Amino acid sequence: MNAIVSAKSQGLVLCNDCHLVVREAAVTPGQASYCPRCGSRLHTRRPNSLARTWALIITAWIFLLPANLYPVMTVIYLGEGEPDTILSGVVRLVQNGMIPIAILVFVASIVVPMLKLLGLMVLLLTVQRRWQLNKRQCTILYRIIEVIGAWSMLDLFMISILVTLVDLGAVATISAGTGATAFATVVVLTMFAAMSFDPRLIWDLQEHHDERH
Amino acid sequence: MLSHQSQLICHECDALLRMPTVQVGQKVVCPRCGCTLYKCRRDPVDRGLALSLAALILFVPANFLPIMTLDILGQENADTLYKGVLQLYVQGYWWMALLVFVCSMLAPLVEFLLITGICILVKLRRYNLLLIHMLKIQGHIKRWGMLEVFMLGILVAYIKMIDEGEIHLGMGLYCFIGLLLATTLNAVLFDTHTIWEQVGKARERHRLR
Repeated sequence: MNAIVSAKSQGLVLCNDCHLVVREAAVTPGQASYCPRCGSRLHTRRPNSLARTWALIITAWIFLLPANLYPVMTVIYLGEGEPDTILSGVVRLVQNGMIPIAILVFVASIVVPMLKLLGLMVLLLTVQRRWQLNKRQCTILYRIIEVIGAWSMLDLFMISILVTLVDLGAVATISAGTGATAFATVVVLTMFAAMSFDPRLIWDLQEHHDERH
Repeated sequence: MLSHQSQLICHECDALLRMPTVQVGQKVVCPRCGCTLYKCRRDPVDRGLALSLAALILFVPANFLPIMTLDILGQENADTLYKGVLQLYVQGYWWMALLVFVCSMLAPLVEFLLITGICILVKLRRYNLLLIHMLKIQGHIKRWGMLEVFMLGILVAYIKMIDEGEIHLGMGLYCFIGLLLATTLNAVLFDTHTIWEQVGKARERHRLR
């Protein structure tokens, strides 16, 4: 029925670095094999993909708490000002009538990290619990998670610009806060989590399914 | 272990496919998961070299000239990419400073140096171990360059501060936009697939000799 078979079932491996198709002939399990073209180590699937991704996701959830509870930035204008968390910063933007920017910051620093973590959890559970989701849609979800990851850095870049730009002594200063450090950690952890997940695991389910029928 | 150049494997869904004949300007898409497997570009090496050299020239002014200058009540201060990193470090946020440094300065710089090196080696037909290592590092480092996100950061900071005082845009910003354009074009036009194939062929010849 399905004309497309996986390379794994045919004993072929794709080199992760140079994308060469290699026949893994008589390689004993547990023994490392290397790409004949670029010399990278060959893996049929990314090693310990599920466990690594779970570990990174759980760590990211933990760091998400200080990232949202501690202030990310303090604006002092003519001697007055108080620390802002990510959310109170968004609220302040709304109060100042900067609705589009508020939406942008809200999406980049709150929605995107959460969706990324939830999306990866859905993918992990699909693989582990053998959920019958549309495989193509799951792959698209993975691709979106990979692409949007970098955009969460928006808030950090903005802070780095503002702390230098608004460094006017007694008139106005902006300084970074502890929350920003935690937030930076969340972004890096989610990026590593997306990298350690192997989307080919989603398609391996299909083959298990076909074999049983 | 033998290599099978007549076949192709999708790196996202592991589908085993027959290698199609591709014309310049076409791209190969996986029929099962829809992921772009590779693109065949016209003169990837010449264009890659031109764009990465342009980016390297723009890199210094984009990082060290002022992006914008803020003037509140006669007090004036300029922002550069480099000062942003330094200021975070001085305030004690070394981890953030490191991240901003890597994503907005180091990764783009290293990537452009690598692309320049790769293109020069391919032009000289030196398909050696150095070229292989450079291609591998380039493949890994490119996801850490986030100039387009930084551009949005500049825009948000600009709009946030526009009512607070007088803002003047600086030469650094224009150079940064040029750098961003070079990066984006490079991502579209540079094509490592062809170079890897050339490397493979060269190594095969080397072995037969």
